[in-house]
Amino acid sequence: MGDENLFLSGNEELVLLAVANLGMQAYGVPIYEAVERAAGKVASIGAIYATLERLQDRGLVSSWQGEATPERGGRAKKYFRIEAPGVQALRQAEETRKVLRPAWIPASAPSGGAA
Amino acid sequence: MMPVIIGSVVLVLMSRLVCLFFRELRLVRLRELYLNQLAKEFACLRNSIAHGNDTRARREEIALLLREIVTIKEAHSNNPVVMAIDLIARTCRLFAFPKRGGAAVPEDLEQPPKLAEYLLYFLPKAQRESLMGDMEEIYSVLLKVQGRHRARFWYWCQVLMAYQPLWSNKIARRVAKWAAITGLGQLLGRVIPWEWVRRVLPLGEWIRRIVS
Repeated sequence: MGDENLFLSGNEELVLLAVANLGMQAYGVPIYEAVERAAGKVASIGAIYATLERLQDRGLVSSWQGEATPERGGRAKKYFRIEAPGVQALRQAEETRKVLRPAWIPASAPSGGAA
Repeated sequence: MMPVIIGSVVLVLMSRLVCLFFRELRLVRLRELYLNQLAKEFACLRNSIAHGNDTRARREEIALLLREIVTIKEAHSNNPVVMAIDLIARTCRLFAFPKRGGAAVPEDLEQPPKLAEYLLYFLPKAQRESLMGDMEEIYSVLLKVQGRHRARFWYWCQVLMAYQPLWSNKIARRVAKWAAITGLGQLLGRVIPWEWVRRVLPLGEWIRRIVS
């Protein structure tokens, strides 16, 4: 079994995937949009920040202060980047899903039409 | 015939006065919003200097901005008519409901709801600044796409939903910290032979001396 520190909850996995996908452009707004698009419902930006804070405490992501713009009321952006343990945690989550997936659910998304 | 002419002249003058009043009112509002915008740019420059981009050009920009703000404030504070209208506008705004449609104010100058913004200051400090910036950025986009009411509703919902996750995070962290300190204390209490330490080092005597 994998490291216990690398276990991810549903929210954490979603946010970590968004951070990984966005690369160097991962700050609050694109992460919020990506999560909202993926989850298909209105997300709470506060919950996303709380999740990011937890991930940062566990060393899965790191952050740095970005530039401030007038559209943001002169407030600086906070960028996030996935770290090596974060990548490992995502891999472990994928493995767990593979192990636990019942045989009657196919690995890829069904494209319609019964067998 | 005479009263009719006088009446119509008075009516025209009064309608003109009302028009002028509302024009001035709008100008006062726009001036206020423009000052807000300048204040934002000022905060932006100050933040970039605080984060290490301290160049001469930025300092000159800040000085220019400050000069502009002071000039606008002084030009209007010396005009009694504008001051009176400003006072009336502020008093009216205390009792007025927000106008439907909100077409009077340009969208790029529209601000998020003030009270909701103040409520954000009660959130934990670590994430507050970036969270507020992100919310303002999304608010300005929503304002253009979905309109003022929906944008304001979204902002209020986000503010109310932000409290629970951020505070529970902070409380959980505090509890974990104290639990770790207490656990470490108990572990040290078991590992260190305190009887022997007390015999070798007169700790009690030292503490008494320090206190006295």
